[in-house]
Amino acid sequence: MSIERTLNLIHNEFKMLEPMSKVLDIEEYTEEDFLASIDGGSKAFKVFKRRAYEEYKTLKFPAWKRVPLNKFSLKRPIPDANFELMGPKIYKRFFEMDESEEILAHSLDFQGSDRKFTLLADSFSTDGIIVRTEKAANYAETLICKFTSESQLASNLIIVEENSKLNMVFYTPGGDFSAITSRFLLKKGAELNLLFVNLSSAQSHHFSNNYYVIGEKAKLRLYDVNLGGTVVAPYHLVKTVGQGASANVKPLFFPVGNEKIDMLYLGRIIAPESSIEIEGIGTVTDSSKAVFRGSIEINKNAKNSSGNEHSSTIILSDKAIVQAIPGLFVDENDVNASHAASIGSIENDKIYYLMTRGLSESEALKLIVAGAFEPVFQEIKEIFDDEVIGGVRNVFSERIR
Amino acid sequence: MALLEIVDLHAVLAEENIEILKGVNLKINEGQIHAIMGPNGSGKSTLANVIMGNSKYRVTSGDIRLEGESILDLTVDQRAKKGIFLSFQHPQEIPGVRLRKFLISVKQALGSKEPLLKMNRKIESLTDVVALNQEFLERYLNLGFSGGEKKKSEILQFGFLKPKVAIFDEIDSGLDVDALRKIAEAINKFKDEGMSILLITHYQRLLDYISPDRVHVYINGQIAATDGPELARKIEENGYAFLLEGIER
Repeated sequence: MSIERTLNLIHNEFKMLEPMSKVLDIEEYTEEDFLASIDGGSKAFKVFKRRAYEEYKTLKFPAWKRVPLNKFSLKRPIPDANFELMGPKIYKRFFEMDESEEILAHSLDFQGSDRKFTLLADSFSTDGIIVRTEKAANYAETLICKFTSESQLASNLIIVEENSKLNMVFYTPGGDFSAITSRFLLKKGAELNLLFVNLSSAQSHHFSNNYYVIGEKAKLRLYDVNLGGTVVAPYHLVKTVGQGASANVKPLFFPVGNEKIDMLYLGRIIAPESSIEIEGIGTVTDSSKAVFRGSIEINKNAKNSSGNEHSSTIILSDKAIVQAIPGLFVDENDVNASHAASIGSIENDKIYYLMTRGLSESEALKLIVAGAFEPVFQEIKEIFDDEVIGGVRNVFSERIR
Repeated sequence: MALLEIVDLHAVLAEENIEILKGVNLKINEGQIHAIMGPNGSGKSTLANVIMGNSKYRVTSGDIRLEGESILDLTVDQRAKKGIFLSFQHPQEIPGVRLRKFLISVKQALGSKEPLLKMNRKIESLTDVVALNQEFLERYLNLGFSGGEKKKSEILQFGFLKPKVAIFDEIDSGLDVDALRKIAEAINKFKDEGMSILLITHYQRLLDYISPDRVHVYINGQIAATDGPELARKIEENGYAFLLEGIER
């Protein structure tokens, strides 16, 4: 079975060549490590992980160019996935996976920011969650998965059944390392409001790889909140496979100091009358760096579909770097598609205006930067738990200086 | 007593060193309303910005005094805290900051300890006076407001912050007759006895609703003439030409 690739450019008889990337030569986990990680799991769990590991062994870690991974090494002992779960009891542990879930997870296999990281979680994680909603159920309570360990490897599988509606939060309060691979299936008429909050920063490596398949008239609203770290690399590939499917993706980011964040949000529009919007908002300051890759692909036959991608970044320091890399690949004429990126410092006239009302320069700056994030925070507050977003607001506010 | 006094004020554009205020003298007593009129490009707005301390301009000589004390060394926000308010011709839009929350934050930044409930009630009643729909209080500051709504937002801020000296830079521009009358009524209503006002305008029509004690004509970085309200009517009838001739002579 072929995996869902990150770049899959084929036009008529032309096919893209994949570049060879530089690799890292670091000490690897071993067969013994792998065997320890599957101990106690179900038969299907072992099948799933064995397949991942067999491929994992053949690959090397990438060196990456824009945000280099030269300080990356694998953590020992191998991190567990420790988490608290709150909300509706519609989950089980990943190691309890049954055969049908294994087949589904396999069918939702994907490349991620780099296949090696996607497989790192799938091969060596001891746990994760499998969520399955009831058909046509509307869950008033938000399902919250809060990671509690310093570092974690985890794989997750989330199935939102037909016409059911779920709000879900993945919350990482801090920590120095994570590789988490998650697969999402939204069936016909399903709705998923999903919030990722990763408040790890400074000395940390985080690789979050996520793949979403959205069925007919299903709706995904995705909020992805990140700070920055040694390297933070969120990856979200959203694919509309059913007519009238829609996804709204809103990343927020705010690296400070020497932190770096390398993001990829990819909307792949397959079905007619489906839509994907990606709208990133961020701030960079000090000597931090943000790479924002936002791409929309519209495949042939996805008639009357729409794909829009936009990112806007405020730069608060001369030394901070932003690289916004929008991509738009359209293979169908009858569509509405756009992309744009704006990068800029805060206009002095805005600061002056607020100062004429009695705010100091730094108070004015804080207000303007916080204001850039506020509309999305407000949306998050309206959908999810008030407490979750209150903490995020404070962390962002403390970063404005 | 002079509340705001400007003494032989010279200022340059900070980046280009071009002189734009060429010896301005102005004295506004407590409770007085003064109007500054002048042709396009005469630098009226610049004067307002120099009084406020905008860093685009640098004062090269002279003084600006509030209640007898020089404010030249104060930052923009310190001047605001001392009681100077500038209403902008083109107010900035600030996304993500709700008008109501902004008003409260600013009032608190100015040192108010008033309870929130009281502040909220006050804001709502002032919003009615400026004829702004209360929905605007929950909208982001000036974002997507029409020209008239932005002016109302400025007057609302003025009414709520209660400065000692308020400078209105072309508050009448872009307003229809009804909106102009409403805004003028609100200014009159919000003005305390001891508060001083400086109106910067092109037209006499604003002065039909707000009666100035003194009218100044500002041309080419200087005050070219000062008189009572009749000066404004004379300009309305004859234009600025007779004053320009006077200067050229």
